[in-house]
Amino acid sequence: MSPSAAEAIFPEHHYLNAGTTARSWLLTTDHKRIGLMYMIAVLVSLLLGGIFALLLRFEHLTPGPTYIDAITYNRLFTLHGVIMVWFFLIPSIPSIFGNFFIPIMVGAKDVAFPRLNLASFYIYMFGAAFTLWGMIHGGADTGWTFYTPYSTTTTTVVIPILLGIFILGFSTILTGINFIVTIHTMRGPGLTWMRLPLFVWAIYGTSIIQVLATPVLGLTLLLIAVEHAFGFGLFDPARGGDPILFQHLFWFYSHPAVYIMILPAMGVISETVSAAARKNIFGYRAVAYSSLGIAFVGFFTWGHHMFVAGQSVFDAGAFGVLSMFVGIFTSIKVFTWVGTLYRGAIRFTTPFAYICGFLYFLVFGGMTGIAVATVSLDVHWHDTYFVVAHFHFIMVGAALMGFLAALHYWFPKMFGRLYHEGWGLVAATLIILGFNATFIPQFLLGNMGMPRRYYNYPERFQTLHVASTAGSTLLFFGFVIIFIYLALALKYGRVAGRNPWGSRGFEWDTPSPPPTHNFEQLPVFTHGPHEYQEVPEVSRVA
Amino acid sequence: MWTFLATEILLFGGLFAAYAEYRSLFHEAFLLGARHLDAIMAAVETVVLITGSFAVVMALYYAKSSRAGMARLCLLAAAATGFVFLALHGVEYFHHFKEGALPGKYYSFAELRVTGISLFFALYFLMTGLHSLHVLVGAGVLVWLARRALSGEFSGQHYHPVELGGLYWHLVDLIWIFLFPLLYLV
Amino acid sequence: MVDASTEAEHGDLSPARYAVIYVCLLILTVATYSLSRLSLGTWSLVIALVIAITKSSLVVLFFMQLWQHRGSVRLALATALIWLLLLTFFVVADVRTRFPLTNPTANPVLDGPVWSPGSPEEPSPQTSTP
Repeated sequence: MSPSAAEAIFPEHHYLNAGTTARSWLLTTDHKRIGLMYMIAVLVSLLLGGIFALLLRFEHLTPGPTYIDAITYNRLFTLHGVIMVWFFLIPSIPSIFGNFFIPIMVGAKDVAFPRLNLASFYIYMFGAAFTLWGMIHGGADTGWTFYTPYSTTTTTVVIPILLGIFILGFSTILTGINFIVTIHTMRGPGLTWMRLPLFVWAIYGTSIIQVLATPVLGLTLLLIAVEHAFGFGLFDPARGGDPILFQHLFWFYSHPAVYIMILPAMGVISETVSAAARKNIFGYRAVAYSSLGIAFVGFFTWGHHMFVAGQSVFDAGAFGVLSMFVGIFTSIKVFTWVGTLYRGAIRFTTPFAYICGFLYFLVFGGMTGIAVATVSLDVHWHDTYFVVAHFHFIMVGAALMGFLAALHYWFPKMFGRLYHEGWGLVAATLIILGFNATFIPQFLLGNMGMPRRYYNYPERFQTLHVASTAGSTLLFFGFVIIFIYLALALKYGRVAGRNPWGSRGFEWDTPSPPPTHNFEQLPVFTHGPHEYQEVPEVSRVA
Repeated sequence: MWTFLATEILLFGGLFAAYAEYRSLFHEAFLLGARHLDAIMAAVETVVLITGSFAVVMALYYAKSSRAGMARLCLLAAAATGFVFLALHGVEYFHHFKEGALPGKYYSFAELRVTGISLFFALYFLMTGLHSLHVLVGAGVLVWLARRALSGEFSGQHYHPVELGGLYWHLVDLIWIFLFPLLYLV
Repeated sequence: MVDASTEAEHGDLSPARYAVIYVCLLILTVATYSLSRLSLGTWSLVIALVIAITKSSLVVLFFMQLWQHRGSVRLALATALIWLLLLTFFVVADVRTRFPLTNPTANPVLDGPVWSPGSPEEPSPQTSTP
């Protein structure tokens, strides 16, 4: 895909300049503006979570104390986890790009419940406020997983943070409901389920997970708070309570939660891959159904976080086997994407760089996931840096690559301008290299026995820790560069025009930036969004 | 709305799972605890909530036929059943407070001492408490709908708010239909 | 709201029919209470759940008009219920298949003795009357 230089006009009236008062933004019901507001909030969360990560990595430059004490370290990794999981990763693609593009992609003027959409945003901010308050007062030191009985007895400020996440859960649920109803009921004429963009399928699957899983999280956090405040004994062994019950309830949500994080990124890759290769997607139905497959099967696997926690051998075995099934759907997607790229007319642009990064990180991260899902292996790796590296490969490596791909692919559509491709590729390279430098040492560390969430470590691990920290600094610089050139592009970028990538996605049929009601006239759908050429019957491989 | 109801089912679902686990572990405590609770009162509460559900169904029927007065009456009747339920439940709670049958570390009821009993009461208070909170919200929604009904807002074309409020109320009833036997009867 | 029934007019029951369902629910309530007073051992839980499921089916199908609705709504409900069963199954399976000594046992000093049938301090079953 190459930015076309022909007829690049900047529309006179679009959603950005339709009303310029603060009120028109803060009380907007325009899904595109809400998406942008989320973008600011989510990027701030990324920055905050990232700074905490850097602080952690710098502490690990030397064994023993480097510049902070142990309690601060514990609080930092807790906050890093809480912010990155709930305030960045989970809302990132759905709340920004889902909000912005789902209505456009289905041919609607807005989501099903626009005011509810705005409410979701303010609920997010409200939850963020509580968590921020908790952070200022020292933060919790329980880890983002809040395991009992420590979380129910710690004296650190656990309750405001729990409350913040609880409130945020409502934002997630409402967004999920909004998307499900929009996709079910607001598709334009001619848009059958099998013509939906694959991004929409991915968000649909994500919304199902959000709706089914988040309530259990809400309940679980509530139970910790009640236990902490009143001592009901629900998770207290002295009263007959079972700490492992907490883990069952927590992971019943949190494992599907990781699919909330990765599925939208997969949707983005499906969009960008066919645009990058200018080719029909290799197996549309396979990708569409596997999105649903991941959404459902992701719920059957939560016990693989608890192999050594004390659950029964029966459960452990069952979960180990069930966890393998998710790999099936992911590999279906990977094969489909690669099949799409094969013999495509690829232009190496920034989104394509992120696609490459994504594929690499998803495959390696995913394979290490299958590895830790094997009970016998996990006994050695559980709670070591091996697991940390595994999930960062998927969450940062794959999901974040998806986020950056989305950001770059859709930047021209959202703002009507092109960013500087050269710098885009530089930043992408830095990020991919920096990421590898940060986390591959962590696989080695974990395998050698370095436990996670430990403040001290033996001397022999220091070299790898230093390497990891060096990598994280590279990562950070990559992000700084992205921020700079994107900010500059907002004002000084070349005008993008309606469809700079030459993509067949539906959102590229409308001007860049789109008008407030998305279209000049409501579209009628006559072709699929990933169809770049007719497929004559004779050329089908037997 | 049904999607939202699905979320509520899973919210309570976590507590039902906890109940199942602890019942499995402390069978005797759960048996004795259940026998100690006031099953007759709970049966009355069940009847009250079912009546409320019926009233809500009638309210929807009247709303669709644009009979604002009857719709409003039914909605208020349903809300009233909610408040009656809460009152009866309050009596139950008060009784438990007095005798010391309280959750977790507050348990001080000398007459019933079996391993795991404080956990039974913890679950009892948590499940019925969360449910009562939903009853309160539901009753509030019904009162608000009754006010709207008075202004003649609902008709055969526009009745969805009543339908949605009704669905929420039915869900509250449904959860109690399961809480009643699990906590009080077996 | 767009996911509600679109053919409500045709499928709605008459008030009389709703009243019949209401009476059925009342009868089932009385039934479940009366049956619980008999001591049927493990069957009492099964019977109580069967009656509860019947009652809730009546409410869902008729009061909540699910029988008129499209498949996607039924799917949403079915999924929620199956997920609930999934969670409950694995939690209970965990506790029942663990090595018994690793299960929480509560504290007989705080709570009371571990009760066994025929034990002399068995409290008599009573329903408290205010």
